[in-house]
Amino acid sequence: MKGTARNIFLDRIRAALGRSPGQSVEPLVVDHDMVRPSLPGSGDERENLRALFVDRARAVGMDVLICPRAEVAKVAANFLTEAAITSVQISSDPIIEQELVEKMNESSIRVAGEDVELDVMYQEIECGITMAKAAVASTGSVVVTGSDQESRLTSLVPPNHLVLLADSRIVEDLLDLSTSPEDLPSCMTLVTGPSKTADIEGVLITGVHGPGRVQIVLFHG
Amino acid sequence: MRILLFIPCLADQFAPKAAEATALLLEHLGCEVIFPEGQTCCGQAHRNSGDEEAARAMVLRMARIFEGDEWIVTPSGSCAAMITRHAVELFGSESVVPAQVQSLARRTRELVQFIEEELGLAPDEIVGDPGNAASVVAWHPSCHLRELNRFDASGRFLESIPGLEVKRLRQEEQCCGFGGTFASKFGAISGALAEDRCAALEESDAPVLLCNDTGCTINIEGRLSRRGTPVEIQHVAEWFCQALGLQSREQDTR
Amino acid sequence: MKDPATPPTSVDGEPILFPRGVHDIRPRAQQFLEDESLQSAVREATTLKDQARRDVLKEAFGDDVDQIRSIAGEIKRHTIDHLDHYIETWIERAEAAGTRVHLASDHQEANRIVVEIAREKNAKLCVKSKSMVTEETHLLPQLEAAGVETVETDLGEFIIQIDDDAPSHIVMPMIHKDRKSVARAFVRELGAEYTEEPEQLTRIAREHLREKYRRADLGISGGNFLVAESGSLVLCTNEGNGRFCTSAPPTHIAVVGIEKLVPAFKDLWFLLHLLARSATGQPLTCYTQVLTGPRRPDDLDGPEEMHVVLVDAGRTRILADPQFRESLGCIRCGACLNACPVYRKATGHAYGSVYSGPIGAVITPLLQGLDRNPTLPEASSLCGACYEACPVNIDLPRMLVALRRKTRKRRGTTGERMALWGMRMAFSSDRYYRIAATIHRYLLRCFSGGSDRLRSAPGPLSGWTRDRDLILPASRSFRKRWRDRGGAVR
Ligand code: SF4
Repeated sequence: MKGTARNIFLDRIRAALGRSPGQSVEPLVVDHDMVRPSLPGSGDERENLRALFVDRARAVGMDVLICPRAEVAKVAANFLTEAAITSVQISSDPIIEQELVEKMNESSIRVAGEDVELDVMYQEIECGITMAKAAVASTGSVVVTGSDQESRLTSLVPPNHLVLLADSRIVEDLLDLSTSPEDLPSCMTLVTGPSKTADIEGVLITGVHGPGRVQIVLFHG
Repeated sequence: MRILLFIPCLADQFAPKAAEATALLLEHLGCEVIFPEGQTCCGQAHRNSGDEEAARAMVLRMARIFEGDEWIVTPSGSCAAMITRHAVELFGSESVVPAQVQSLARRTRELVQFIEEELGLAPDEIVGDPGNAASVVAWHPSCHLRELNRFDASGRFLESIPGLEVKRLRQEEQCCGFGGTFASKFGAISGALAEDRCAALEESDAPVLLCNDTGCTINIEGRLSRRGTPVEIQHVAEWFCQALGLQSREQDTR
Repeated sequence: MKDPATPPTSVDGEPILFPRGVHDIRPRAQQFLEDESLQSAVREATTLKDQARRDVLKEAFGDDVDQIRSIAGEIKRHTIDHLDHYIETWIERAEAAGTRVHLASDHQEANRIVVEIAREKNAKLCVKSKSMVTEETHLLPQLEAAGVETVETDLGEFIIQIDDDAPSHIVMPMIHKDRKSVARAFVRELGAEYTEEPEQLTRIAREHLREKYRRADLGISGGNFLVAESGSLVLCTNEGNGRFCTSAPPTHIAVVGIEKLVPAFKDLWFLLHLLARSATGQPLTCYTQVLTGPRRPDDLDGPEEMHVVLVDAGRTRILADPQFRESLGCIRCGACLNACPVYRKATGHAYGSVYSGPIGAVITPLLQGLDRNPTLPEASSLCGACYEACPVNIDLPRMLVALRRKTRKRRGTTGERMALWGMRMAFSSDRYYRIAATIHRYLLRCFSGGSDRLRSAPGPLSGWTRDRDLILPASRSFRKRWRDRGGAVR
């Protein structure tokens, strides 16, 4: 885009506002913290955050299983077996991925690569497994991304989405999410419930285009 | 305490008994009630129609007539909102709001608001039981109570009257469809809204509807009359007067 | 599906959205009032969402709700008041992240930019998620004319597209349609088997659209927010179609109004706490995407190109008028529609605009011209429910009155002018007032033939007596009674 066209566009806005180019802006000072949830006052803060998160995540229709760090792979595999899921796609993670893959192999669950075509995904992958980058207690959301470790489609296309979440990653509120430029991936998505619609006569249907089931495995550590 | 009584034009013409009950109740509560005779209208109709200039003239006139430092009390929520909120806004585009207008806005109160906030009286300090008044009523919170921050408060006030059962209407937050000229210009929509209110009222089975706005009253009454539903509409002041056995000196029909 | 170039029409034979000539909301509203199933569907949905909004806001924020709404309003107002600065900052950061930014002054330019990108990419199939601005600009027929098959992917918008209809609510686009019409459209347009089960219907749409996602070479979306500090685009959706449209195709174009900016993430988060709660009663929509540029070199997937078209199309005109500027703070939550008694009765299509309800009654005349929409600002009882519902505290009733002033100046009817003038005279002294009241009472008595109520009034009052009686003024006014009783006067 040419500089001049851009200037004309911006100048029109400036004229409407009675401002001049480069005129500075006093930053707005308001109390953003007003939207923070009121946590139950006493007790361990981390414990409270975790309880709030579990509560809110369940309230928006996501299931939460809680386990120690050492049992994550087992709990995940159990969930898959119980749900009769036979093939998954797993996003990369330096720590857990290996364990998971081994466990899947043990349970004869097929692990697909990350470069499969969309139509293959539609037909063959029943569950996407991702590691939550963060979670928000006040809204019950988990954060998934599109990055070098995680395909945007893993948490979107398969009918089930399994999210592994370390409880140390739970923050109190949206306001606490890290959004510095170096942390910001090209795509960051807050997932707050399974895909849903109420477009037809207000009847709630889950699993429209995205996963109809979101299972969180929350672990300590 | 001396107060100035502000009886909006609609109440003066269509609901004189409610206006009178307001005066009686205030007197009963120990107020010396003065009616400034020069008063006509607060300018709400003009303001709502976008005729700011006429509305300003009327507000100024009103400010002159109600000059003083007494509270100004009115039975109508919408007129109270017009004075306390919009009258000042009308002058907002000019650099100063005339001091008279500011004083007018500061001193004006809707009746229930005045009783609760300025006289500091709770219902049980006024009346012990419904007496001759209806012991079951429905309540119509008029939309303009929103602008006075009284939408819930006035309902709660009524609910705490000893011995009175207040039925909350289905969709009570939905406007009854009055809206001044809106009711005529958009007759079909307005009529449908009035019907919603009346249907809910019928459902509630309450024999009396309490309503603190003459506009809403003539609207709902008109619809009740058309559909042949026998529910009496009373101003809160009328209910109190009945409960307290306060009578206007002469009995007459409309 | 009909020829996309001819827009779907309403009961009056005019296009549902943006009818030609001068639009009057009343004739459509009257017809819709008689459609019982439409009325009950809209009543149910709006009252339910209205109640949900109150409940969840109260649950989340207790007594702080009003203060939070007013802070949210301050955030948007501050942004709008310094929009040039925030747009400039946003553009700089967005470009640094690799987003290609385009500026469109009007509808034509916005459409031209999109079509050009589509051509350049040799696009054949476009999947589109919900965007109000593209409805405003009539983008779809332009893309189709350029040979790009374009499919709406939000379930409601998809159904509306194949059934040759138009959205009637900002958030619940097919609030006016029932499952039967969906079933029929799916049989007719998709060759599906007849079913009325929402679950089945949703599944049919999903299968159909999955095929489209797979083949699409272009994705178009709108945008809920633009974050200046990072140059990000934020999308709030529930179904997942928005994520598909911005992830699967190699090119993504977002078409966004210039008013969507917020300064920083903390402002975004603050507003997000209110958006979904006000819209549907959810804490957040199921998916909140923060998109900052196209896929990066090492990313596993995502579009290779991300374009954002910033659309002005009348917004700077609104910006220039301080009376109406705050209307640009709207975050399109739809709460004011749900709360509005007139919207509930007239229903969305009566407004003749993508923006219906109170916010539509304000911004449609501002965007399209008051001359073409003179009745919209009148279509309100000024009950204030919209103002109370608005998460960003926009004083819609005040602006409706300000618009009425404009119409009055330009074209108020003679009858109305005379009535207002007459009232003004009557109210100018208590003597005139008493005389006018006596005449008024006398005339009404004449019409009523002595009864205390009128069943059918003449002229402008006929609207009143359409569905209700007119109770006549009492025979003795309050002031007369007060005098007679010897009340204190001054
Ligand atoms: S005006 Fe306010 S309530 Fe209406 S849609 Fe916009 S943000 Fe929501």
